[in-house]
Amino acid sequence: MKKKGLSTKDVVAIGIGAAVFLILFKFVAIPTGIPNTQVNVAQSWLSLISILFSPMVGFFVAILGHSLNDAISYGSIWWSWVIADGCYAFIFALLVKRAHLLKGALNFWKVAWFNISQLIANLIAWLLIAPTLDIVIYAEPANKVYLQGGLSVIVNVISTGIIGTTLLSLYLKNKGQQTLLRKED
Amino acid sequence: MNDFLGYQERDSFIHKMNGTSKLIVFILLTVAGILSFDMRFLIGLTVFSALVLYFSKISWKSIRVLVYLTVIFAVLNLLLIYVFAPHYGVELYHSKTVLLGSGYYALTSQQIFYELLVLLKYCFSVPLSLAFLLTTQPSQLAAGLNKVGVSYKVAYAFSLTLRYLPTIQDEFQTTRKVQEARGFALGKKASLGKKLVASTRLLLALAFSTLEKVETISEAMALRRFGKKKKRTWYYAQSWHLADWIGLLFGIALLALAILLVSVDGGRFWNPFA
Amino acid sequence: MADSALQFDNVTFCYETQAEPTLKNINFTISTGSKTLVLGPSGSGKSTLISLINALVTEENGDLSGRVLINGVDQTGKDPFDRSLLVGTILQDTDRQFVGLTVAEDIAFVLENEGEPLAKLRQAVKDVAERFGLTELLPLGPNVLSGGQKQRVALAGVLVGDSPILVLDEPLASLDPKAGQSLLETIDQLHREGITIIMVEHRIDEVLRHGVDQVLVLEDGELVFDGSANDLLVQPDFHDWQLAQPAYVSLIEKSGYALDDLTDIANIAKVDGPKLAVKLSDFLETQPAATAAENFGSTALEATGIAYQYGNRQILTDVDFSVQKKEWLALIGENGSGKSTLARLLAGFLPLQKGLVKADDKDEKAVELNDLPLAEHAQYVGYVSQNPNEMLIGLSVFEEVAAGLRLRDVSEEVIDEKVLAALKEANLYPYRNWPSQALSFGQKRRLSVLAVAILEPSVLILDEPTAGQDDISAKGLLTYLQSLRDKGLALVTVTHDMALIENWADRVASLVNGQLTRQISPKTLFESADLLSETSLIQPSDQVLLERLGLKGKERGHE
Repeated sequence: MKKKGLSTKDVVAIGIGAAVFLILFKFVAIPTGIPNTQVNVAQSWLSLISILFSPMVGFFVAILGHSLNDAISYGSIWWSWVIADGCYAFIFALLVKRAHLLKGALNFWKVAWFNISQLIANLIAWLLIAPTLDIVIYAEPANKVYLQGGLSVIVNVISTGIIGTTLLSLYLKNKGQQTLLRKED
Repeated sequence: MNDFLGYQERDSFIHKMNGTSKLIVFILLTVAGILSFDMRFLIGLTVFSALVLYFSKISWKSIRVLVYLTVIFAVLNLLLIYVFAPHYGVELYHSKTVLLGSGYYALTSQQIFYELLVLLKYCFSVPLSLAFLLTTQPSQLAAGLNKVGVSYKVAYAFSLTLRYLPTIQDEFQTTRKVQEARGFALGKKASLGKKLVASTRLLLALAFSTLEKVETISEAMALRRFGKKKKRTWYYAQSWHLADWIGLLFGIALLALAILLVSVDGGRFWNPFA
Repeated sequence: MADSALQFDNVTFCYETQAEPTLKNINFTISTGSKTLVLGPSGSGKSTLISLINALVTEENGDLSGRVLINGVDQTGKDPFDRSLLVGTILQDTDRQFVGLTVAEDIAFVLENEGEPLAKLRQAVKDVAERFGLTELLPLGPNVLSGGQKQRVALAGVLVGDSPILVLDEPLASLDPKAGQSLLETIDQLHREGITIIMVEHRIDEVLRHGVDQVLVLEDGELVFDGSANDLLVQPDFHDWQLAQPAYVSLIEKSGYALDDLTDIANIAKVDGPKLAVKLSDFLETQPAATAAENFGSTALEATGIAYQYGNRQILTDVDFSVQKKEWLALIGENGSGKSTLARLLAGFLPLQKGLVKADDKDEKAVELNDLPLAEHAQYVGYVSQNPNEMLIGLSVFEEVAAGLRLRDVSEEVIDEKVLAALKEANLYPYRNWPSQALSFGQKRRLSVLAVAILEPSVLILDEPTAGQDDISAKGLLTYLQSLRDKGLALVTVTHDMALIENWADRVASLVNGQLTRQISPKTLFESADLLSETSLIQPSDQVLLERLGLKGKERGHE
């Protein structure tokens, strides 16, 4: 059933996915010791949702989840990062599509593809889009925003590399093809 | 839901405006505020939004913690800007008036002016978003999104987020406790490695049950014909009244002013030092 | 003769991803305006049958042969969206099918999707809300509604679109018995209005109290029974189908009375037979007397002066609670009575506001639990929540159990030995290398109990352990719990499952208005109409029968 636009399942995935994203974003941030930089588990969730559904679903999960979190926790929305998050999900999902991660078992090449994709998507989102928007919207000085962007890339790439890869591999083990499962005595 | 802000029922004319008009005004004013770097305009916009918030009868008590947080965040960011680019104001306004100190980190009035401007950029949207968010019933917000041109599917996804947020939050809290009871705590005392393990477990547990939820909820929606037609109506959609049109007028006027100022100032910045 | 509302004509269905068909050569007819009960254990093909009726599953999802006819019209090749105009569906999960932000919005959902104009929409919602007595709830959100209210909203939300056939997929699963009876009454009312009802439900005992016209039984994808409830209950194969026998039928059967001699067996208000009362009376005489005060071990957990307030609401006031080793205590109470709050307080999941909780350690020394971190608290009091997914994270079955031990620095050899032994006992050993999410719901439930019990706490608290499971997997879990209890564990089950209370629990503690009543025996509970009503329970059907036959009080061992 290939239909244009979002299916009902996509709509629900966006809605519930964004709620989970928001909760993780708000409650599970692990400080790294460097101010303003946290390991965000939400980023790994975003990566998984983008793989399981589609680039558009990932995009909307990030946009809705992030902007709603900003709005109800801070009262104002930091648009530059909201958009960057959305672009991360979209670009990552596009890059990773070709690897057909959901078919068959996870192997070295798939893990590599997953991680190279998230690296590229993180670079574009946090070293290109977010700083540029910060400059355009808030006229922040370039060296500050690029440094912040660079730090975000490092933290995101490492955390998605560890947590995201674990999440994907366990997901595939559990929900992938189960024909090999046999009862043992 | 004590951790989050949400709709507060009051009797004010802002509450009586419909979700669509409020959303449009919110967007217009946000765009105006993003566009302009004219100090005079931003002060005006902030005062205007503050007045709107005042008239919406939202209690200060319910929002003060959040306002403090935003101010602290903003001030930290201003300090960071100063550390990284103490001359940025001088570059922007092509003049230099040293107030204090000397050398690289000398404090100039141009830098102060620029940083105040950034502070306003951070802050104008706070009263505006609060006035919008706290006076609009969530269902009307979803209906409003659809009315301003967002696809009804995305608008309904947004409504679902609000609907299931408390459910997911409850589940998250229990999951955290269940994992904690097994020894995987996320507390302050745990080391970075342990926190990583604990949060990964938390994420995994949440991921599986969420995906299962997506399955059943989408079935429940399909069974009630969601997505069948190109359009859908909204039970909570409201008609337009005088207040809506007046609000819209304000929104358009302020955005027009912001655009006008760009051409008058010869760019997005207004330079009082020229 | 009535027309047929639904007909399956030699239907076989095989999912794309599966080798074996899930349904095989199914033939049956359901007449318009009738009430049908569909039975069968998990995995028998019931959900697929329902999905073929409401078009959640169509020929696009697999290989479908034969015909599904609705109101005499073959549905092959028809738009699945249009099926919901003919068939309305109620699901078991009351929270998940409530997709609106308010009751009004949820009821309006189907008409919104049809793009009906606003005026018509609001009028229709108003009318249907009146019909179901929901008018005052219209502006409320789902978080303040009980399960029973949510199911009524779901019914209203389906019938606002005027579907002449109503399919209910385990509608009682998340309701307490009283709310269940009230929902069944509503369904009866719809039945009288001429709506065709098709209901899948495990809780036969409760459904039969309201009568059904036709029963279908599925086993391994085949239709093994199609007939009346009266015929079903006397089928020699009844027990092979793994169905939950109504309590009063079990009692009669146990007494040695031949079920074939009964008339109106499916109707508890009428069932009778020659000398039934005499036979039952004799049987009860021979039953061993229940020991009035059983000898449990020493105190496992003791709580005194527990109070809890949430916002302005006093949920618990001055509760004293204790449970002995080897005791199985059922904690009951209606929705919002604070029973889950109490369970969570005892387990350390909620911070104690007032009161003291003490547990016995292995050397029978009382340890104060008030200020212990949760991980240490859990070594004395284990807590198993309703949703196994909160605990299981997709590791192998073995690892899920071992994780808690590993953190506590137990040696690998001991872990191996302990975990494998426990898996055997819980009948999960053959699955030890499976990823946990590949297990069935019942197996997951058992695994989550195991993962907590492996830490050998003094007390195990379980929230609704049998909810959402069929008879077989519920019994599997309860048998496993029994074996843990026999080893010295104290069990506290928060529940409204009447079979659990009647057949498994030693004692019952009920919460009414935030206060705990005296701990009593299940028997005493079922004799107190007041207490039953205050805790949202109903009289078990065997008690109903005995009362009608004037045999109440004949049983021995009364307190």
